[in-house]
Amino acid sequence: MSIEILTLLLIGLILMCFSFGAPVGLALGGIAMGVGYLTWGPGIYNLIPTTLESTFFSFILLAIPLYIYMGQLLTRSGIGDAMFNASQMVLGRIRGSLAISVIGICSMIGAMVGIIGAGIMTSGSIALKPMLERGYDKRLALGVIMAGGGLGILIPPSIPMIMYAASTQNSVGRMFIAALIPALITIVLLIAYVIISCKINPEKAPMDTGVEQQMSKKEKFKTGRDGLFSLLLIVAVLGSIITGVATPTESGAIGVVGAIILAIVFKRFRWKMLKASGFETAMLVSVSMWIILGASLFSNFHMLSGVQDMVADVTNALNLPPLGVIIMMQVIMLLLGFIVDELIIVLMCAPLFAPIVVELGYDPIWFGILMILNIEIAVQTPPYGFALFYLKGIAPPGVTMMDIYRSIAPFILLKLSVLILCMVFPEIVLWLPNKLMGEG
Amino acid sequence: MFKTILKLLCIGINKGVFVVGFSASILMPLLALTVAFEVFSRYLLGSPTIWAYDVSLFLFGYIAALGGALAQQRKAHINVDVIYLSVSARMKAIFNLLSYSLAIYFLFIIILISLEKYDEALEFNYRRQSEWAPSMAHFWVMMTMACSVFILQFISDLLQDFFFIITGKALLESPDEEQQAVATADVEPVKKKLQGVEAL
Repeated sequence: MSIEILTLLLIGLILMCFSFGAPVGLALGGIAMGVGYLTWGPGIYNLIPTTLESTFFSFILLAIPLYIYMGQLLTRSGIGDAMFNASQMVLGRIRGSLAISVIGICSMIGAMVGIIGAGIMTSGSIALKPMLERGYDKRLALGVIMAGGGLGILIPPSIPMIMYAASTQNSVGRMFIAALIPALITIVLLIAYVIISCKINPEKAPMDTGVEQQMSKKEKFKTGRDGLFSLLLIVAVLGSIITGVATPTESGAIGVVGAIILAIVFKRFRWKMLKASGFETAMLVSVSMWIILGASLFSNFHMLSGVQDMVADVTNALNLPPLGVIIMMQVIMLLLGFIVDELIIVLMCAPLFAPIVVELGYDPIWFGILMILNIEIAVQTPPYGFALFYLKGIAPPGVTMMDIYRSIAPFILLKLSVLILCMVFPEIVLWLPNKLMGEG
Repeated sequence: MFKTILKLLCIGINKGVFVVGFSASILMPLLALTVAFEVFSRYLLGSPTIWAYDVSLFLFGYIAALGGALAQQRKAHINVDVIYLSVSARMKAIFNLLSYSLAIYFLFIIILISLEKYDEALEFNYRRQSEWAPSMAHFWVMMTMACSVFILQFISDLLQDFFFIITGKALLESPDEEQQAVATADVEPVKKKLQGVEAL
């Protein structure tokens, strides 16, 4: 069977299984093994032990449970709320302060949990209610939660970045550092949009009732302390990676121990919380790892069948300039984001696209960050971006899908402008890692 | 009578799967402590361990593999639901029959390969290629067990879907039985928060 026909067959089967609502990881693994058996015979099964060992014994992927666990502990112990209150205490007198706090805190929480869906759900459950209670415009409230929660995969530690690094044999630390400036630019743009938009339409964000401002000195101290220490923990985790004290995986473990210590110090520690966090983490890790296993088997089978040569031939035949190829890849990933989630896009596209990008003379870390920025936009783009449905899931009954579509539009445009900026000026991405870790 | 047997079978499987998944989740703090201890030992005790690397990877593998069945019970595995959500309940059940069969085939192949690797591990004393070099045999036993439990969960789900297609009624219909079967325990405080938001 030629690679072209094989690819068409595989795509057809994937679309069929996806439309049946099959669990993605198991479907990909099942399709690879089934089609592989028909084309290669039983030899295809030899891929299983090698893929299993490279997936389950990957020290890079081991970072996934640790970061998710840290995020679960921080949010379940109420430290997320503490960060939100502390931020509100500082910014409370600015119009739109709550929306600004939401962007800052949601991006932190998103960063802790590292997956868009969990980021939006957790951020929304903490921040949506106080915003609506204080009379904020529904669309502004929904938009900032979506934009802030979605930032989680761009702010280290990020699970899709770990997956990209693992599947393309790049440094996770370098990816994390490369994401910092684009993340900072995005946050600044989002906050600037909120401030300007509230200035033009003051009814969107009523002045704060100042609950945090009326707190006693003792309460203010406690709120400030909780917020500051939570922030310090995230800085310490990132700092240990940047300074080389620990690997990204070890930093995750340090983060878990730090989160437990913080919960004990703040008198928020409960055994039940530790048990629930462990349980939820185990579920999320298991879901991620079965997807990684299935997608890796699929990708290995497809690669060994020669898909990379086919993609290279198609790319050459199109006769596009190098940047045109990058844009074409971006469009493919954007379209994929309408039907599958961020983990699957990374696992399917990274091993396929990264070698071509390197051959074109581009830096794989730069392309990885473009991929993350792109996915962040794709999964939030109407009408089918799956993250939209997460937000709908936690929104009050009166919120329609149309409200959500309209709420996210300006934020999508801002994120798109960051993607274009990073594409046109690769130095935005590469300057910091080259400065801190030397040329890659 | 037949319905009762089916119900008991599904509830039994669901409970067993819950025990396996929950036991795997207990390993989470242990995993974090193992990796953190390695950093502690390296910097504060001045002597890196030779075992922490392998132990942490094994714990990771155990948690990831053994939790799969419980994630299926909670319908937590990611799927693409654009079309799936728009069809009738009966059609969903038919879709499930097809997709779960494919999943069972995949898991069955992993069991066959894992048993083969287990035999090899014992016969040739295969070990991890690391300084500590622990045996690999237990990992393949665990993979066999994880996939078997996963298949059992799919069988329970298939039975429920099949029953629904034939009779048009849910096999585990009463909330008590559902609760007993799913046994989600007190692990979802987010749910409470969401209810609070909905109350708005």
